[in-house]
Amino acid sequence: MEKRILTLLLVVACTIFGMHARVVKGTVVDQVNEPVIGANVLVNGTIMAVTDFDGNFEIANVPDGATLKFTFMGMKAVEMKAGDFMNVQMEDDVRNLDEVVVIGYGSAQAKDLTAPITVVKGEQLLATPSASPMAAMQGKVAGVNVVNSGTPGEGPKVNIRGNGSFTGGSPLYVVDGMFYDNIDFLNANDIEDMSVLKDASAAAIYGVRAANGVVLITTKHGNKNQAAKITYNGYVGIQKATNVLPMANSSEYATMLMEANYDAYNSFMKASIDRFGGSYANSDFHQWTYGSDTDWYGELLRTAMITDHSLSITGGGEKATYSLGINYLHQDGVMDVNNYYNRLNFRAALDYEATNWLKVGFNGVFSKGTQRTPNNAAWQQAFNAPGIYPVFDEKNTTSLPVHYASPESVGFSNNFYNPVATANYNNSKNEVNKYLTNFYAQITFIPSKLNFKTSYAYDFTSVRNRTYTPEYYVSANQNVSKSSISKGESSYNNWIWDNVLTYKENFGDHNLGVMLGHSMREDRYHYLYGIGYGIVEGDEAFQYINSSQESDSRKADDGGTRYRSNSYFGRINYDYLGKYLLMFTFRADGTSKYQETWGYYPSIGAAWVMSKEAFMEDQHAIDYWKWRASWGRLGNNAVPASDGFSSVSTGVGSSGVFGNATIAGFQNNSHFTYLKWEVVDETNIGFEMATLRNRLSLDVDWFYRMTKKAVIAPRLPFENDVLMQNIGKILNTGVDVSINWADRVGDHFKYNIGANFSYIHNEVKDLAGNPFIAGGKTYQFVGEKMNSFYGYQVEGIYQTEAECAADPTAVANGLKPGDFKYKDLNGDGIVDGDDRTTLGSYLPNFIYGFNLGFQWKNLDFMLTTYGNAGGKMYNRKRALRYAQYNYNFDQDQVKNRWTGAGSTNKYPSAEGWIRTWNVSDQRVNDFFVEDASFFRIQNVTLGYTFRNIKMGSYTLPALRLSATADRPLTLFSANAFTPELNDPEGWDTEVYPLTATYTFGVTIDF
Amino acid sequence: MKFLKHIMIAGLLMIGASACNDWLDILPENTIPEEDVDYTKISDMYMPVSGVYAKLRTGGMHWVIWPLTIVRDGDVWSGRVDDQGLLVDFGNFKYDASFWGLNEMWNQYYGMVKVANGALTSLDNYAEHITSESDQATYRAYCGEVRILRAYAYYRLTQAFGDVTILRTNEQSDLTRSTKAAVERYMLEDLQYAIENCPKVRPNEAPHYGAATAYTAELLAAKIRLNRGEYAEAEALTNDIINSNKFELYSDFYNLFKIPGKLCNESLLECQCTDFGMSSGDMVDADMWFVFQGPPMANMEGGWTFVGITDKFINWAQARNETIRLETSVIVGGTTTRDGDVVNVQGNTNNTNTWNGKAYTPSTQLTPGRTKYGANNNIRIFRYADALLINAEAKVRQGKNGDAPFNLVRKRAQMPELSNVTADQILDERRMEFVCEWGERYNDLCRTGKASELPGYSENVRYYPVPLAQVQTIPTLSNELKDE
Repeated sequence: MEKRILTLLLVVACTIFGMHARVVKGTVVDQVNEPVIGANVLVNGTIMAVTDFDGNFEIANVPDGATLKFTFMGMKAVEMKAGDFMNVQMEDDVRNLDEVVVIGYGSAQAKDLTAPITVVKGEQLLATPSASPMAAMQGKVAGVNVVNSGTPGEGPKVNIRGNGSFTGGSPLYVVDGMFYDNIDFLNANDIEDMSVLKDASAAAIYGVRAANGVVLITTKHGNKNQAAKITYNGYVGIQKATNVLPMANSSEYATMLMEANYDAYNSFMKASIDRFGGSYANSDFHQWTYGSDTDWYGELLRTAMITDHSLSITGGGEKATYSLGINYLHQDGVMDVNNYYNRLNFRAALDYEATNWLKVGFNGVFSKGTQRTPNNAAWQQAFNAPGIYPVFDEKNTTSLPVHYASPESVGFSNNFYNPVATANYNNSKNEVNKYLTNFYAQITFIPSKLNFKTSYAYDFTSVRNRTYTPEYYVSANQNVSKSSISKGESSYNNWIWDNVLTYKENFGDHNLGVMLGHSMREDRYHYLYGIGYGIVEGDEAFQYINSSQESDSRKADDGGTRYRSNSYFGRINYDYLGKYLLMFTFRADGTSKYQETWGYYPSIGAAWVMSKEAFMEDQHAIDYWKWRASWGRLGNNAVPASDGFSSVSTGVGSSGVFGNATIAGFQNNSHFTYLKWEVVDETNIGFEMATLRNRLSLDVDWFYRMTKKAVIAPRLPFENDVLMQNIGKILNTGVDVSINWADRVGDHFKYNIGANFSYIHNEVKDLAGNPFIAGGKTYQFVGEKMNSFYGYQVEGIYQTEAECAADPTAVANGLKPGDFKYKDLNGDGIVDGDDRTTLGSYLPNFIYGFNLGFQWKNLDFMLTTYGNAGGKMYNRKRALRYAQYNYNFDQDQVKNRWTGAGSTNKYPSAEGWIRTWNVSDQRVNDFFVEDASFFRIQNVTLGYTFRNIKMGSYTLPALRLSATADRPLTLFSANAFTPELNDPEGWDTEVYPLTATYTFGVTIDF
Repeated sequence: MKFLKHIMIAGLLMIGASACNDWLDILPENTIPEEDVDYTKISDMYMPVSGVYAKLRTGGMHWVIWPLTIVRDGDVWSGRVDDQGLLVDFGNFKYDASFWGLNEMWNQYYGMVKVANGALTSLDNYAEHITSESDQATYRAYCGEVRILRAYAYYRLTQAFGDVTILRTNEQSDLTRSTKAAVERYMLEDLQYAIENCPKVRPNEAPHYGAATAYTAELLAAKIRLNRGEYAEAEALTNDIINSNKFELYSDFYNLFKIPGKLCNESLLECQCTDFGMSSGDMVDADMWFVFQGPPMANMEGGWTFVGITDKFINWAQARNETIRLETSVIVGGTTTRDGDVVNVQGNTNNTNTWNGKAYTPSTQLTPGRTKYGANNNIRIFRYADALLINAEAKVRQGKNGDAPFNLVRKRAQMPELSNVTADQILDERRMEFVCEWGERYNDLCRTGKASELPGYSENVRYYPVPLAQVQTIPTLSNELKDE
């Protein structure tokens, strides 16, 4: 924004001082005289033009004696006095010190920053074929942990610099001034750039929302004096399941269960053979054969299509700039039923200099998405279902309307389903309409010194869900006797009004900047839900709740939230000769969410550009070296609102039944929460440097983040309820490192190699005297990682009867060879609940990514990788056997089972798998805790660009063809479909396969 | 100067924005503050009482409480070796204090106590606005109802855990446990209040259909007295119930536990559920209580197939020539019920093949369109047959003749009448009559010293341990017991 203002000032200045102006033309080339396409041409700090496909630019009204500055990502800025025709040559530079970085309520040049802020350009995200831009961030920025999801239309989970809250919480995304919890509605093509504000000094200007990190997103805008640039960008590809966990086949399944207990389980196998073929003639059940050997995952999976098309037009004249875009994405899910996500986005941005003191602008993103959701329960059922019954069974005439096989046909009752039927008898759709708009007006009081900007951002989101459940019958446990339609309407009305006053002044070598602002915000959410039964099958057009044949069964529900906030903030930045930099920020945030309304969030940052000191001037080893240090305080209001007063519960759940009716009742909730936001204090010390003729850059930051007043919910005595209190303290400390090398070999070969990694140490520091706090899945212990698994340590497997007889624990619990032997940690001779200990946590210690790219003539190549290490996950899929002993097994369980003394000291016997001692929620043990580390080839892209293609009289400037393999290879040791879990506490109930995507893309510049 | 004007405009905007001090002062959406309950509206005074019944249904009938209540008497077992295996161990007196279900049982009953405590506070708030004597009487009757349900929760707690904490207020921080005897005195106080203030009617005559009445209180008090060996008091209390001539045994034992027997004249307390007589839409029910113990059915929706009746019991009942009570109490896999419902045999032969017939609602009795096992049925808690048998036993133990009440129960069960019945005969009768009902048999065995016949039983495993999850976090639970 600042740039545009300055342009305006310039114009004003010209008029006032009556300076001469002229037209400037020129060409910008790189060190081997290739044109630089898209370089910014700045006049007095404002982008006035962008070079075209031949590296040419033209600017009218450049004042005499003005200095032009040329910048381009990856190249060193060049400043030149204006001339009539300018030949500009730029050189490679791995550090982009002149890059303009968007910071909170303003912008700054990279060299002026005192905080570690990483900028990712929209183009860098385009290689990843994903519905969500954040998915493409995986592995790109040190300290940012991205956990992807497999469901079409579902965005990833993002953590910046570790997890500092028991309640989780995502970073704050600020899209053109509007606050969001995720940016899944945006397309990478909509994005100009993203600034990741990692440390507290950068984020503190966002106060109570900033504790989980802040990502600022700017959507695309036009540039002045730029001829219309029309670009088409699209790809089409396929998605394939990878890393599908091998499951036991019918014979392996039968072997396990009959080895476990022949009498109990042989009837199921015989029933399957009787009905679906095979033989149990052999007296050794290991030799039985099975006519039905259903690979349920094979039945559920398909190769799915993904395609994306974007068209954008960007340009600008002397007074106005514009950018328009349209994008369409369609992604099918890999489940072999009708499930997909599609999204149509429109985007427009217009900036106009109405007068010499007033500039106005508007931008909007309209996003219309439809998500036909798969019934993900089918994956779970496929995981549990053995192969001994088929998908279809024509003999099963009771199943309607399709003759699906029933698990009852082999004698199974509850807990078993036909997963294919589950997947197919499902019809659920979400329609998401989102309108993000931003209007602003900027008034210049003193050109290039003082201006005021008021902007209003408004977001309206509507989510409509409709779910139709048809009548069907598969088995007594899988049927719906009454069709139903349920519809839900959720709407979000959020707005933010920002007023910002900015002042700049130079006193000789001293530069001062002051910003003062005020912001008001309201978030409203409301939903309305209804359901009706007895709905005729057929077209959506007549499936309405009021067409329900049983009008008395109709039901409705609603609810909502409303929060407001009011904030004052400011920033002072000062530097001396660009060598010593100081920055203070402050925000006072008032929020209606908590009883205590106001919170105060200061920060301070300083930097020293050591390489500008005299003692560094004569050396050539170090091109650039900046030290920086900062401290800041942040708030986290992602913790739930507090009740603030005792309340009463009402409704059916609090009403007694008397005869055939309820009498309205209430129950007092005598305890209530009195919560406030969490507070995070963070210190950051780091440096950035460039060496070896600006080819190698290194960024290192050490950080120490302490979350105070972390909200955690100890269990109330004598109740299942928990009461949330601000009593926790969590430390995240570590190092972020990123290192990049870029160079050329000869004239035509450019390449770059980079790596980034983070080490994070996470520790619960305080729980207000509680010895531990038990959650449903994990525990918190002072001195341990948060969300630690808690249970027994497996010492080995009991190998012999004699070993069991000699162990009092084995005697007391009736244990047999093949059962787990747990460690007697307290040494009292018997294993019981007091012998449990922490067994690790899902939080990784290391997150890393490597990338490699080269460009040779018109050929380009890019490889990115991503990995993390140090986390553990709990294989709940296996542990869930406690609920149903004859669920299917994964192959690893079968192949490695204990089969006699000395066979294994790690895996239990087949019989062990059906014994409570080994498998139970009461017997969490480290056999089930697996290594969650993984390494992935994230993305490989190969592209070729054709330039200046003559098509009759028209010359097409550029056409690029590319092929991408996204996530083609993931390596991990856990017995899992993926180590990227939905559950932040690391319970692996994940049964969706990961997908790899292979695409072919085209980019055309018209 | 033009710029000055702009500055003023901008300044005004900012002042305007900040002037709204009320801007942040809004109430949270969709939450009713407690102080907003209108305690002057006496016609709403039953609301907190209704809330306690709701807690009985939603908490007191949690499915895991049920097996924990009934699996230790040798006649009933968990029924499944392949799920919730600890329930099998618990039945064999091998306890694991870290079992989640134990903690659930503790929390759900104390949850009931807390809701009841809160309801009494609310009733007191209403009482401040009462002007008429009739409203005063209603207030006392409502308090009595709440106290009956509170005593019920404590009764179950003492049955399961022995010495437990008396929670006199919900804010109490000292959670030291009291002796079982002290808790019983506390319950009896509550029940005495109810006997004096609640209406002397059958539950199905109560102002709120099926609510607990003075007679419910008398029966619960009689049960406690019997456990304490206070036979004269037990006799007096049950005499009062019998002599009211309001109660009678439901003649059709088979249907007593089914839809026709809901809140019949034998009922003294039920947990009520309803489908509103509608074929679809919401039901208000006890969640999985019926489904948990539903057998695998061929022609209708079955359940989770838990709760088995042991062969030992069946053989014993057959040897007694029991007919209608055996048929009603036990459902056998591979047979068809008299209502034509086909019970499947389970593939896993280590699981039970016999189920609790008292939780069975025939498909013919379900509201058309409803398929959930046990839909629309109530859970029977206390019934008149108990009052009769307590009366008989109390008399016999005092050297009197208990034949009359005893033979009423025999006659209804189509069993020959006996004369000069002994205490042991009454205990056998109770075993038959109350099989699979709320651990009555286990209680009988424990209070008469016969529990030592049970394999694995000893005095120190009579009660379950206090759940580890509570002990680990509440230090006062480990204090020395208090006798108050």
